[in-house]
Amino acid sequence: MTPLDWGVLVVYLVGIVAFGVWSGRGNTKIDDFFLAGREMRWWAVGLSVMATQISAITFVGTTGQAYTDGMRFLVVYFGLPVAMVILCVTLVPFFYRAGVFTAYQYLEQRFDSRTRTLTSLLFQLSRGLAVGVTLYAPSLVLSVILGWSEQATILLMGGSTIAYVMYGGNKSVIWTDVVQMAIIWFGIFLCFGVAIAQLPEGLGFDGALALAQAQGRLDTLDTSTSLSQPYTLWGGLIGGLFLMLSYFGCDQSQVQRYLAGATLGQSRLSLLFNAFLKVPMQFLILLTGVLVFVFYHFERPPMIWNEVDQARLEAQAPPDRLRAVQERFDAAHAAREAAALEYARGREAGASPEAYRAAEKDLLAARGEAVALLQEVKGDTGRYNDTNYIFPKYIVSQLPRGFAGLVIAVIFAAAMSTLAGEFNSLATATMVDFYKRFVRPDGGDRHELLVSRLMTVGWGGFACLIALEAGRLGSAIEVVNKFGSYFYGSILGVFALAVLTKRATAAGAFWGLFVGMASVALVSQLTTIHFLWYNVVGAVAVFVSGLLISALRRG
Amino acid sequence: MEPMPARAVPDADDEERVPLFGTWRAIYVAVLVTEVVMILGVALFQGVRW
Repeated sequence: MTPLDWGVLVVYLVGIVAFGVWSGRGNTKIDDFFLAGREMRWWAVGLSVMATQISAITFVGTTGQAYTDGMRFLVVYFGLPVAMVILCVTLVPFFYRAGVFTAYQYLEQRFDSRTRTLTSLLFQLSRGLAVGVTLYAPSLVLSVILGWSEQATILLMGGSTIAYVMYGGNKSVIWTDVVQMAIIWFGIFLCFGVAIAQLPEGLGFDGALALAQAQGRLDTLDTSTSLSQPYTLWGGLIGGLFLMLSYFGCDQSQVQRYLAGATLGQSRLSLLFNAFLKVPMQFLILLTGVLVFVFYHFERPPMIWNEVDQARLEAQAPPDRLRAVQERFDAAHAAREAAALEYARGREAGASPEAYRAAEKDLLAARGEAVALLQEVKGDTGRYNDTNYIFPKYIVSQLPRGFAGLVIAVIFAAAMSTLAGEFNSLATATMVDFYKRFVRPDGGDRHELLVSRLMTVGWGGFACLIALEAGRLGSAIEVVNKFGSYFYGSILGVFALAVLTKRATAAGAFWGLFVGMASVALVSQLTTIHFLWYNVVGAVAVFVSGLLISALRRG
Repeated sequence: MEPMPARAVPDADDEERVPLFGTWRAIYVAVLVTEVVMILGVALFQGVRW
């Protein structure tokens, strides 16, 4: 990173905090603080919904995934447009007309207080733990790329987000999301353009796509009907639909964004805006990752993408073995480059890609040897994964001066926009679903605003603590990530019972939720079904068992 | 609290004129048609020999 890059990053960080504080001024009661006075326009809310959804790891993780595995991940978003239409017709009008602060508040109006308490508690438990991971994962990557300590990155990212969300609440969240989303879009187009511009002369965009296609990187639609196969077309359309219904319909971090719409119509339009744009956006992000893959055919990639691990390998591996591994890797890379050029030039004359594919396999094997040596040095026997470092490494080493700082700012923006929405929604759930019901129902505007701000700081501080400890938690982090998927679909089932049928009773919804969570736990433990289907299992189990329990209790 | 109705009742918000599309039904159809076009576009992108 050059001084200009650092300057761009500093301007972004200082600017976004200042803008967040400025745009969030004028809060006098919790309606303002949590729902931005219910006066936001659809485009601002729509961009905020998009910014909350795209985390830093979505940005750097999916480009890295496209580099190593291709564009299959795109199918996860195929369920999103249909989910948005379903939500606009079903849940959104209920939430909006009920005048609620939280999605779970509506469940008390439809069922009973314990269903509200349980669902809100589950949200706070899972989101509260997951927000630590949302902070930790990009901090880890950025600390390696920027050469900072993890602690410094976590505290900078978490602290600056807490500062403006605590002061301005949802208004700050939405307006900073608008700016951050503009930066993210600009960054995506910039990376895409630079990746194309850096392709070698004579190859061209279509040549790059031909190379990617020969290596299976453009394969997106897998029509396999196996439930265990990840990212199939059906998994995306059906599993993705339930995932998006759960996330956008029942997760307070999203519901709170569109509840800030000035009218029901504005809230609906904000979701439909995402329905149109989300798939093309993700397509562009993944295609950028694919182009980076092609770019590194003609520029020698590092053996290990994580610079800290690469340095450790160089410092601690026996020099003769390291040299042998490096020479083998360099030779395999040179062979792949030659094979790629030969295929690209001859493809229109019907050249076979087999030699090129064999060269790619050989390069992967050479990298495998480097990874094995690294694992030996580290004394680690687990599966090594440095996918999240590919794109940031490309940014800082290949982007023109000034642009690298801007794209690092994009990663910060993606992380902070998600964190901001989550801090704000967690504080809302604690304040509205617990504090105002069980501690002090009518404390007055000043008191409630103060407590809401303290809760924002509390949840932000908790996220920082989890992130600071995440390195030591190790595999517990994976458990946290899986934890949410156990009841995400089940909560959707409760909302389906609430709005799709009059027959469901409070007991059916409450106990059905447990049946749903148990079903998902069993499926995840006893089968190899891919996680995209868990939400389908949970929602269907709750809906069916909830109706049965309702009928039995009534009868 | 009063129990909520089990179905959303159309009100003035549903009658609101939708920018560009005119009605809510039209924009929902447009979203779904776009979805089909996007999937077909991805299939074409994957299937064409570059």
